[in-house]
Amino acid sequence: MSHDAKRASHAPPSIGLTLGPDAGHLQRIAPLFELVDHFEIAPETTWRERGGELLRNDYFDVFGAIAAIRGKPLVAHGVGFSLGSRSDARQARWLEQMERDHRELEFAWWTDHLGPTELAARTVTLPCPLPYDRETADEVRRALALMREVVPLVGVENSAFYVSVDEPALEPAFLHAITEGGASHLLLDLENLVLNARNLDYDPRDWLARIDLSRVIEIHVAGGDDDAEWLPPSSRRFALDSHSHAVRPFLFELLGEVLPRCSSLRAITLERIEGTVETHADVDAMAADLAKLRGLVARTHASPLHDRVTDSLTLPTRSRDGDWSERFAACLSAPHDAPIDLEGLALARSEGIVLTRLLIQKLRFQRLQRGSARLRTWFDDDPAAFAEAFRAYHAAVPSTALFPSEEAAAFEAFVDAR
Amino acid sequence: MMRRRWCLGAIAVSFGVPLARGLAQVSGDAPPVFASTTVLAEAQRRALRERRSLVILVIPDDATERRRRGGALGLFLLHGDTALRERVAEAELVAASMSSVRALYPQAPATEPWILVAHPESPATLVPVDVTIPPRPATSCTRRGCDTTREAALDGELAAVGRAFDGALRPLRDPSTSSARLTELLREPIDGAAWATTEGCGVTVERVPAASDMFECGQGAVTTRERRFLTWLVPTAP
Repeated sequence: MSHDAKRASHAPPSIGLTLGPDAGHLQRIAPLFELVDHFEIAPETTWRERGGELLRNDYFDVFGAIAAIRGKPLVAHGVGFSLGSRSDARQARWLEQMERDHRELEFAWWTDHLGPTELAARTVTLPCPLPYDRETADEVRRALALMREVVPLVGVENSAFYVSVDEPALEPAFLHAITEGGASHLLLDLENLVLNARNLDYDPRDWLARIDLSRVIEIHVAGGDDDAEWLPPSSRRFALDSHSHAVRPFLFELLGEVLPRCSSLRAITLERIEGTVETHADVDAMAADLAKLRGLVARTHASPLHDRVTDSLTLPTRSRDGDWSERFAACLSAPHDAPIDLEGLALARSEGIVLTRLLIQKLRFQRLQRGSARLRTWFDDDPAAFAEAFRAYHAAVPSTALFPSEEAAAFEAFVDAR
Repeated sequence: MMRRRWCLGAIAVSFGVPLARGLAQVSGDAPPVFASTTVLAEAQRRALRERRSLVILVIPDDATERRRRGGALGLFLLHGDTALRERVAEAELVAASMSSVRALYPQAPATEPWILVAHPESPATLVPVDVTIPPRPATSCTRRGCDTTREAALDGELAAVGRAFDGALRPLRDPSTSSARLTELLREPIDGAAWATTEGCGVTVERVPAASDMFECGQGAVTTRERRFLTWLVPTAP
């Protein structure tokens, strides 16, 4: 069958929206539910921990109900399987819960971010960049194979990074090595691509020209913050993966260019994080973005399609020092102003490492604030003292906690012992 | 637990507030609607799965109205016509505020009806049901019993709520389990609400809320609170 004929037999990609674990947010975006064909959730945000056991929090049923009542499928976009690091205990735990979730919610597929969120036994939460070599690609393939035992259709997303371990130009080949053979798929996050290109200095169109898009099952679009103004004074500006704004026109441009090449595409999802939709104007802007996506998809399917095969997808084979992940994890988990010693490991400018460190600390702060009313009150009443205690805690106690209550208990114990 | 009718002035179903406050204490600054939306979603899924009608007892925003409706619905559920209550018990019963209802059903009415019913053949369609009851006279009880005016008013409430359910509900589907279901309904709290007892001085609410301990994401998103934290963490930042 010719490609055109094959594509013509496919339904157009569905248009979807992320659901965030916040009741007020869900109420505000409820008018958009009728405008989409599917919903996407981060399943881990419906998990909680009690006595070491993973349980569900209340949002599991909320998300399930929103989808069930409208008869629309749910897509899972994980944030914690830690693709690319050997995290056997964590991944075994994840698989058990994934199986339970999938049994009830019947996800159309499950994707996760490229890059470990646990690195050398440290919880970093932010996906960390990987070396783009054959050995690491095999590790990601192994993890995806584990996921496939639970959910038949799985994929990996190109993540947002503020630091790179390898030449960013190798990333397309790396993603190809992960997905080649057809067992796993690619989630192309155009916003991540655009902000990586800006933060790591390359042209997103060059990147797209080098990647095989035939494995793309889903595309993400979003709008992010243009600058992290809370960074230490620096000439360097960074775009942030914040999912907090309307989609930029340039992203729609890129989407229009890649759509004809994505022969396996099943869905396009608009990502928007809870806490960033406050007004009717925000909701209207999201509705407009969804309408643009719908229009773009309709026009693309009306046009002749030309799949494009990329040229060079060769990935280097090389061996790294056994302790590279330990050194990298220690560097990224250090206080933001600690000396940077990544000789031979990272290509990033120091500002990218500082930003990554701060985001890892921000995520740890998030856990503390959610995990303890006492800590929330303390921060409200005396942010200087709280920040000072946090600085000491972060420097002294490697992060291993996954859930807020666990992190808060560790912090409170640390503070009480001082 | 046997609750006798002459005690009705001291027994009510309490909607929303005690439960929401309990959850808000445990889960931090979660708004009250958190509890209401999640329990509604859970009930909705159960109703869909078991192909039963979903009956939503609407939690009014106004505290006085909440007590009034809670009292009348509690009165009916405890002391109404048994055959009718068995039909109620066969449905999936849940209490929720209209803001929670609208989060899951954007087409829900803009008003605040007493009850909303969704039948299994059209689960997305909510049928509003209203009840009209006159204000209750003040309690006037002595050792010899309560005065007849109040008794008559309570009879009127029972009848009004009963008529509303009678018009809204399907006939009993499985009589063999109806009695057990009713017993269960009265023993356990109705999801989204709590049974409460007042004896003239304060309210005793029966229910223990559950906590939530969410996994973090929002990797590159920085909220106002987090920005404040980062500003303190990096004192040189503007």
